[in-house]
This record gives sequence, C-alpha cells and structure tokens, in this order.
Amino acid sequence: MKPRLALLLIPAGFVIWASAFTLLYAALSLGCAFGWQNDAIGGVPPLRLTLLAIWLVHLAALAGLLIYCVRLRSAANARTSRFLRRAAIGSAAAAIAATVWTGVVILVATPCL
Amino acid sequence: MDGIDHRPRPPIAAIRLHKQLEAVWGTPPGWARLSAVNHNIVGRRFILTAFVFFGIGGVLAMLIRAQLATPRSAFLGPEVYNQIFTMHGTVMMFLFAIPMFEGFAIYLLPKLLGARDMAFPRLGAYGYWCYLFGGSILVIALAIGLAPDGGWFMYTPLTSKTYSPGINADIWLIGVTFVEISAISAAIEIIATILKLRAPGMSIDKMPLLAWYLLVTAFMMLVGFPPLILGSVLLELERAFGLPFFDPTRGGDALLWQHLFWLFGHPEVYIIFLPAAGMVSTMLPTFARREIIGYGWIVVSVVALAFLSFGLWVHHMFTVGIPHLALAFFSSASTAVAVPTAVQIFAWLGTLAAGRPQLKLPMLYLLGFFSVFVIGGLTGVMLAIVPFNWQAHDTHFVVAHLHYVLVGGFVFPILAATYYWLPHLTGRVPRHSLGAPAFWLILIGFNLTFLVMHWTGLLGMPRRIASYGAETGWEWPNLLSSIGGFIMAIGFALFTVDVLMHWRHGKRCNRNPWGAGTLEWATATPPPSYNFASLPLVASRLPFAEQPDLGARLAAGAGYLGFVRDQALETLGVDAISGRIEQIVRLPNRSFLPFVSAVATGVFFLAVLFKLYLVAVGALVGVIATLLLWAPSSGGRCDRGPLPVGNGKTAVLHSEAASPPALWALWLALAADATAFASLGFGLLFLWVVAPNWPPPELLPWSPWGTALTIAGFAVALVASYLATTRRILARANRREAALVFAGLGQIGGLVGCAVIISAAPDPTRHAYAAVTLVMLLYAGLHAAVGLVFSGFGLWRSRAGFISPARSLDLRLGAIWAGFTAAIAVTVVLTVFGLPLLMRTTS
Ligand code: HEM
Ligand SMILES: [Cu+2]
Repeated sequence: MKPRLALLLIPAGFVIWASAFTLLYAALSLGCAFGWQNDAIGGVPPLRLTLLAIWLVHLAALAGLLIYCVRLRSAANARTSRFLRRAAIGSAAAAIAATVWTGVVILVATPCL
Repeated sequence: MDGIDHRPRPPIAAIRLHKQLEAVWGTPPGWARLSAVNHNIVGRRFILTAFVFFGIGGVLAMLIRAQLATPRSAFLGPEVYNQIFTMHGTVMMFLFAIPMFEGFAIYLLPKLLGARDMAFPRLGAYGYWCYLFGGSILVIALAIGLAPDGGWFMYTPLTSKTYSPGINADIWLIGVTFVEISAISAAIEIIATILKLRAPGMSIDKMPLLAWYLLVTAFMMLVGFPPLILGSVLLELERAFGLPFFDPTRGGDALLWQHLFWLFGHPEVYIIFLPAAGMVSTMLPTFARREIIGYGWIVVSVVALAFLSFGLWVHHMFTVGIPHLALAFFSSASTAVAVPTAVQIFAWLGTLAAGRPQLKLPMLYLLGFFSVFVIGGLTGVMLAIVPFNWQAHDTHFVVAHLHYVLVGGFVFPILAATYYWLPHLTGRVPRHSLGAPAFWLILIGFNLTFLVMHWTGLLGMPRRIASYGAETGWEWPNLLSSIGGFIMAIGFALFTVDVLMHWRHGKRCNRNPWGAGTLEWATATPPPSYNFASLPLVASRLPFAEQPDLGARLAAGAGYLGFVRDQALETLGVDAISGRIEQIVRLPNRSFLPFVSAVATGVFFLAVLFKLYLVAVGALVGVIATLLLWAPSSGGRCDRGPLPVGNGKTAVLHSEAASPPALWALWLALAADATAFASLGFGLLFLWVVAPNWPPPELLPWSPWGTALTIAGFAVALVASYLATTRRILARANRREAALVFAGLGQIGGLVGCAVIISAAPDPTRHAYAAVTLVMLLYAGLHAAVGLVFSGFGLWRSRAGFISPARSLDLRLGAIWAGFTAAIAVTVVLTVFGLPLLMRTTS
C-alpha cells in the first residue's frame, strides 16, 4: 500500500458519510420544492425512492471501503502501516454506523411535512 | 545504533553553539521586537492578547449579570445591553477562544514535534497583527458606542440595512472577517507544520496526540470559516451596494444567512473544544503517570467528531420551519456526535484509573473540566431532541448549556494548560497557594451562575432581553446567577494574581518539572529562540521514556543540524507519514514586512468600512505588493544538491525538494477557496429552491463571445503555466519566460471574457439571482487577476535567478493556481448559463 494513500483512508469513510448526508439533504429539499412526493411508483413516492437509493449506494460504498481496508497489506514500515490500517478500519466502521443512524429515519418519516 | 552521536561533549561546545544559533535566530529588543516572526514570541503574543480579550469579555459578562440581577433594572438601557451581549459573544468566540488555541498551537507545536519553528513564521506574525487590528476595531467601536448589536450570530434581516442602518453591523462583518483571515492563515500553517516539520523518525503514529487534535482542528477551520467569510462578504455587499441576497422581496432569503452562519457556527464549537481536548490528552497522562489508553481510538474519534460536527448545523435552526425529515437527519447527527466524545472521555477516565494519579494543581482544573463539560454534553443531547428544543429554544436554558460546554470544554482546560506549561515559559513551578482557592471560587461561582440558569430558562426566560418584570418569578434565580457570576469573577482575578506572582516569585525548577514524556520539555526553560540546539531522532511516542538525558544531549549538539550553515535558519522537513528525513527547510528571518502587510490590510478594511472604495483598492494593491516583497528572501539562486545534516545523513534544501511546505500551503489554501466557492453554489441552489419571488424577472443572456474568450483565456493560461514547469521548457530561461508571458495573456483574456459576460448581465440590485450571478463571475475574474500576479511573479523570479530545473517551486505553484482557476471558471460558466436553461424548462 502507498503510505500517503493510507493516511487518506482514515477520513475516507466519513467523506462518504458527508456525501450521503449532503445529498440526502439536497435531494429532500429539491424533491419537496418540485413535488416529487406527490406521484407514486409502485405505491412509493419517487422522493422516498431517491432518498433510499442515495442512502443504499453510500452504504454499499462504505461496505466496499471497509473490505478494502481490512484486506490492506502492511508495507515496509510495519508499525506505522499497521496503525494506519487499524485506524482506517475503525473510522470506516464508525462511518457505517453513523450513516445507518442518520439515514434510518427515511424508512419511517413522511418527507416534506 | 540510533544514528545519534553519543560521545560526551565539552559544555564549552554547547555554549558556543548556543551563541551561534542565537545570533541567527534571535530577535533583538526594542523597536525591533515589532519585526519578530519567531514562534516563541508570536505564540506568546497570541496567548497574552487572547487573555486580555478574555478579560474584556469577562467584564462584559459582569455587566450583563449586573443588569439581569434585579427586575426592571435601569442599569444599562436596551441599546447598550444589545451591544454588550453581542460583543460578549463575539469577543469570547472570535477574539478569545480561537486565538488562544492558535497561540498555544504556535508556541507549542514546533517543540512538541521537535522542530525549530513553524513552517511559515512570517505568516504567523502577519496573522497576529491581523488579529490584533481586527479585534481592536471591534473593541474601539464598543468604547465609542458603535458596537454591533444584532447578537453574535448577526441574523438577517435584523442586521440588513433596513433594520440596522448605522455602521454597527458593518463593524462586525469587517472586524470578524479580518480576524478570520488570521485564523485561516494559522490553520494553513498548523497543518503544514504538523505534516512536514517533525523530528526525524517521528512517524505519523508516534506524533503526540495534541498534534493529531490540532491537525484535525486546523482542517476544520479550513472548511468551516469560508462559509462565514462568504456570508459576511455577501451581507456587506448587500448593505453597501444593495445586492439583495437576504432580502425576500427581491428573491433573497434571510434564512440563507443562518445556514451560512451555522455551517461555520456549529463546527466552531468543536474547533474550540478539540484543541482543549488535545491539551487534556497531553496533560492527563503526565499526572496519571502512564501512557494514554487508546491512542488509535482517540485519533479515530477526533476524525469522526470533525466530520459529524459539520452535519448538524441545522440544530440551531430547528424552529425556523424545515421539513421534519430534514430535522430528523440533523437531530440524529447531533446525537451521534456524543459517541466519539464519550470515547475520549472513557479513554481519559481509563488512563486515570489505570495509572497512579497525582493531584497537582493543573489536575485540579482538569477535574473541573470533566464535571462541567459532561453536564454540558448531557444538556446538549437534550437540546438535540427536536420537541425539547422547541420548548427551550432561545431561553436561558440554551445560554446555560452553551456555557457549560464552552467554559467546561475550553476555559477549564486552558486554565489547566496555563499552569501546566507555565514552567516552560518561566522556569518556575506553580504552587497550590492561590491556584487552589481560585479554582474553587471559579467552580462554585460557575455552577451557581449557570446551573440556576437552566432553571430560569425552563421558567421561560428568553435570552437577550435587557429587563423583565417582577411578576415573572425569575427574580430569585437571576439574583443567584448574578451572585455566582461575581464569585466566579473573583476566582478569575485570583487566578490572574497567582500567575503574576508566579512570574516573579515562583520556585525555580529544572527542565521537565512534571516528568512529562513529550518533546517540548527537552528544551531549556524558558526556551531559546531556536528551541533545540540540535534536533532529536524520535523512536517512540514518549521520547523521554528511553532517553531521560535527551535535553542535555540535544543542547550539546548531538542530534541533527547541530551547527549554523550560511547564517541561515534551518530545520528539518520529513516525509508526512514515515518521518524519514526529506529536506532542509530554510526559514525566513525577522522582518517588518508582515507588520506592514497587516497595516495595509487594516487600511483596506477600514476603507471598506467607511466606504472609501478608491482607498480600498489602493490598499489592496499595497497588500499584494508587500506580500510579494516577502519573496526575495526565500528560495536560492543556485543549485546546492544534498547537504549534510549531521550524524552522517544528507538532505536537499526545501527549494530543491519535491514537496516543500509551500506546496502544501497552496493546496490547503485552495481547499479553503473551494469551500467558499461551494458555499456560494449552495447559496444559489438554496435561493432557487426556497426563496420567494423566483423565477427571476430577467435572466442572463447567452454571450458567445464572452464565453469563448473566458474559456479560451483560462485554457491558454492553464496550458502555458503547466508547460512552464515541464522539463524541456523549464530548462531554458527564454522558453519558460515566453510560456509565462502566454500564461499572463491567457489570464487577461479570461478576465476580459468575464467582464464581457458581466456587461450584459441583468441589474444585480433587482434580484438575488442576478446578484449571485454577478458574484460568481467576479469570483472567476478575481482568480484570473491573482493568476496574472502569479505569472508576473514567476517571470520576476525567473529573471532574478531563482528558477532552475531543480528549483521550480514558484512555477509549480503558478501552474496549480492556473489549474484551479480554470476549474472554477468552467464551473462558473456552466452554472451561470446552465441555470437559466434549467429554469426555462422547469417553469
Ligand atoms: C466568564 C464567565 C461568563 C459569564 C458570567 C457569561 C455570561 C453570559 C450571559 C448572561 C449571557 C446571555 C446574554 C443574554 O442572553 O442576554 C451570555 C451569552 C453568551 N456567552 Fe457568555 N459568559 C461567560 C463566559 C463565556 C465564555 C468563556 C464564552 C465562550 C468561549 C461565552 C460565550 C457566550 C456566547 C457565544 C453568548 C451568546 C451571545 C449572544 O446571544 O449573542 N461566554 N454569557
Ligand atoms: Cu451546534
């Protein structure tokens, strides 16, 4: 693993979280402004489908990141790269928990109220 | 075996080395002090000035409490009261907390990391003067009764021209922007220093925790402050030129201000808390007499906190009418933030439990921090729950909560830190005599003031009211609060007396009086201007654990760079991850230029304040010119190749290195720049979706010539600037200078293109759409103008002999800027012409 890359892996999980959060908020605002909650596709308003899609895509990306971090191999400087790998795994896992926690309300709440 | 010369050396050699180093690094006394750029001096100035502002903020707090002590008080009228609480909040947040942490960072970081100074000493000095001047503008305004009075969060439309006609609000916008410039420059400097200027061998996992905390905090500042700076600029444009960003009758929206403000404002709380937490993580293990538990977990939780704290700004806006689902997002993010905070608290408690804690004076203040901060955290979680928030919004419950967090999370740790690092500055240890009673007065007074305030708030007392009736039932709790406030004030006074007495009469001590493990205690106390006579090789997180005699050995010159070369100020630069030696960083010497640049900057802001726009333009030119004058003393005029750094190792000078600190600084500045631009984009989207009176009456007409010129100009600039850095062109002076001329012409083309588009744009004072469009085009134009300066600078440097294939830094910086500018320009063109297309199809 390229060491510089490994340092970027520590914030990577939360960058994905931030992207999920921003897009969810933006899509919700746009959807409510332009009436995406009024139609229905198979009984579900397109706004909720959009939000779910954003949420799930980001969760998938996070899962991918976590797997990538777990599989990383240590480079020459074993102690440092072990630390970086562990920290990256830890923050990817924390980012998954945060993304689940912030997004889970999509399943229950009515948008645009 | 560890690459360091262990042979004993005669003390005479140490003294001679000290004299040589002091001759190049030192700052002479007298007026020459104004030219100081050394981090020891700049850091101390920041700390001292911040304490002065804390005193001012404290006096204002006492006035507030005196006013609220009794019902129907006529002590301060509502006009004065409004100024006072606004200034109290502003002073505490912008002039005390942030600069105080900057001061500690600037003073401590190089020592913690085993370096001789910060990466950009002149930038630090410039930042200090900006802070001092900006803060003074605010305080002088208060003294002459012109202080801002719209509350520290300056909500529009209250602060728009209609409702705040005087210059009070302008003073806030300008003073705070001035101070924020200083904060962003400090952030850039902190990051570059932590990533590059460490002792050899200090790999990223061996950095002291405080460095991690400061690294993350500085990144937060880099993306947290631009939204506020942008918001302030927009509000000032609205107030001065009538561009209606926040005016709902002309397509603006007052809520946009709140979003931009809290996008900064909430992270700000963590920007204040995290450095303090870092200090706790540094002090606590010393007193627990064991290494901190969970280093890796703490790093992860600090990173998590940094991100999560950006995702909850809307919790300050729960009552403004936002869809419930959005509230739920922000509410859950707000509660999530408690988890990484708790991880750190458990790490601290675990360390105490596993160690053999000693109750030294700083530790007492740390215990105060724990108890107060935890209560503040709990009420914070309460406020994050939307239904409760609707009840408590803008009551004194919130005031109580925020002070538990800020005083608990920042003031107590700072008091502890002051006692902890005082021996470093004075060579004397503090005693329990006055420090302990001061602590108890502060703790008891604080709780009396603010615990009771929760109750006042739940009884329904709104914040920011100058007086209340006797029938409200609020008089007893308010009286108690005020008494508590004065007890606390006595405590702070005692603390001040204690520190002053210590300065004169404290007991002398040797280096490392607490038995700490971090490198800052390896310098002499007080430290010489160069910190270390030679730089250590670091092999663990606590370098003193293996080498208790480290300080003496470094002083004798046994580490790296234990000599003076070319009368230059040298320190080592390392690879950011591994801590491998990479370059010799030469730092600039003392200079009046930062002071002069800051004065010019001050003139610029004052001219804007008094609407003397010609003077402002002149001052801006002055700022750029004096900043350019900083350059001649950096870089080299010939290639030197690898030079010895001691202990058999060699390294190249930073001007010949692949990734010198300046390169990092540019990338970081661009990150801040991009954040400001993204906030502008957010503003446009927000107004389009939410603001009334959209779509706008008139759209930007398609301008083929303007667009073609803009795109072509930026493309030429980009390609030419890039080519100038390629090996074949760089090697020959005439070729690279031709490329730079083309780059400049390209930027001029882009500038003219932007002007052509603007000339056809609809009247920006009629609708927010046109105003934002104008700002976007100006943004691109401004970048072109700076690009022009970059190419001219490159040309000058090339002529003056600073450029060679090995020394291409200046041109690389220009090429990066040109690339960024081109990206901004393309985005602007797509947005300003794309949005009208979109609006035509959706309406
Ligand atoms: C030293 C003891 C302090 C006391 C007695 C005190 C007292 C007060 C009071 C009574 C208010 C409410 C004013 C009102 O709503 O009318 C207030 C507001 C505030 N305080 Fe403090 N304070 C103290 C320290 C601090 C510190 C250390 C900070 C930050 C680092 C701080 C930041 C603020 C802020 C941001 C506000 C809100 C101002 C506004 O509403 O515009 N305070 N303070
Ligand atoms: Cu907040």
